[in-house]
Amino acid sequence: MILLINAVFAFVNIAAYVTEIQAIVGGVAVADGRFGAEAGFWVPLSFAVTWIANFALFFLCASGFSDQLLYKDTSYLMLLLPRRGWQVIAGRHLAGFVECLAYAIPGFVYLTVHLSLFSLVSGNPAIGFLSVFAEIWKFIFVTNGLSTLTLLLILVCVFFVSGSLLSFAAISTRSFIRSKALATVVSIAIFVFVTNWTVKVGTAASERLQWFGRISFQFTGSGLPNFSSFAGTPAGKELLIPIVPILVFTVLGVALFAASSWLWERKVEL
Amino acid sequence: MSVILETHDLRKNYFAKPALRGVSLSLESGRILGLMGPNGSGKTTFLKIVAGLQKASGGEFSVAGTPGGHRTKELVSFLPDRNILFPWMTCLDAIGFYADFFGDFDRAKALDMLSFMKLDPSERVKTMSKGMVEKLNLTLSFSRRARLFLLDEPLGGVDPVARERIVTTIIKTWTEDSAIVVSTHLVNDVERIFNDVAMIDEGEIVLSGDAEELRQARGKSIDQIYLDTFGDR
Repeated sequence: MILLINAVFAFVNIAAYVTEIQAIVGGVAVADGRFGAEAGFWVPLSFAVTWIANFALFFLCASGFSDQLLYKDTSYLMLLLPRRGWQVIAGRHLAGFVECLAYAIPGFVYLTVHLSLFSLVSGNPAIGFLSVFAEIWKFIFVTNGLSTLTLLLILVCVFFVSGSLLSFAAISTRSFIRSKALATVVSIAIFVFVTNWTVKVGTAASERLQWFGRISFQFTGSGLPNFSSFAGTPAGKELLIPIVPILVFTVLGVALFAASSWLWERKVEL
Repeated sequence: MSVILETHDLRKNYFAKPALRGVSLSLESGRILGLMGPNGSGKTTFLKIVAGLQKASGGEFSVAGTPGGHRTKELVSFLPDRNILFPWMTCLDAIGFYADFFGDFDRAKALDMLSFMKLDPSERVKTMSKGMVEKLNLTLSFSRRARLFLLDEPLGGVDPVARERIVTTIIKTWTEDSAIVVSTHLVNDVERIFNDVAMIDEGEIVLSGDAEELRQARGKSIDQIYLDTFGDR
């Protein structure tokens, strides 16, 4: 499955690169400052396929593929393992995390190649692709290394907390509802309800307490041709991150993970 | 001989419907028990409870003296009536998985059994026939040095040659310090390996005892006794 999905990503992105390079080499892109019709089709398609799939896979992997854990015949194998509930569930979250990286890292590399090609189109193609590509990686991981690391850590937290929420929703409904269809609908409703209200209440509390974290990105001195135009600001950008929802989600994630582990050992039946 | 499996008044209800109505039995080490009964009689429910896939509504059981629960999963090797392996797995992947998770798994024995079962180690589960998958699952279950082996309909849906191979494997796996429970309604094919039999109907044991004693007392094969017991179904 991992190979198949990555093959699809590779196909659409390489097709998009070919059309982008054709436009640059033909001089169309540089003259107009934008790509032609062919690239206009493949580039959005490659973005849609890569990032919509990555978004969906993020949550699927985060849940530890609860379908295999709870409903397919492989659930027998999982429940027969002589391991505690928390070990089985945490193991599936970790495996899901590794799988998610197997999709997200290539997706990110494809994106940086696209960004390099865009920079060549709207800037000076004489700079060369490799220089721009290296500059983008330097911009992300050196110039803004700490901010990038902070964002990545938040993403990892979001992965495990949403995984914990999804697992709890799936395991709790499987424990008490025999019908898979009904259990799935109820578990999605639980996930949406909990997530929605935690974000609403948490953000309101953060605003009242003025409790925000700040993550700054420097755009100046990146050396990228017209790169600031992509960022929408010439100097830099500051992201405000509400702290209360993050804390609430983390506490909720730990509590629901414990509840899921208990339910897995005591209530799930096949 | 020590007692490997002991159940006392084991009950299971699916909402208001009883599936097991107080099953009590005892199985000593070195014995093979044939658990027989028509479809829906409670055989699979009984095995699932002992394997840890379901929770009893009442009563208790122990495996080699360990009360039923999380710890007994280490002592029980369960062969369900379906394929439980991931389709992407090859035989070697499956062996590696079992070796990682079951401390009593014997990798050398598993490889030996693969060859006996004429299975290609690099073949994937998704390309195997039902009989081959059954043999692979049996290989994995029997490559553990478990105290109790539970086989749920191991002969269902496989051809006569594979069936004979499976029966031979059960006999080869027999050891004095473990016990085997075989649930089946294909009594004729396996009754020769049973030391004990228990016939179950509507969640209750209706007949049980030493297989040879039953044969002599009634002057019939176990298959014929089974037909006498459930023939009107």
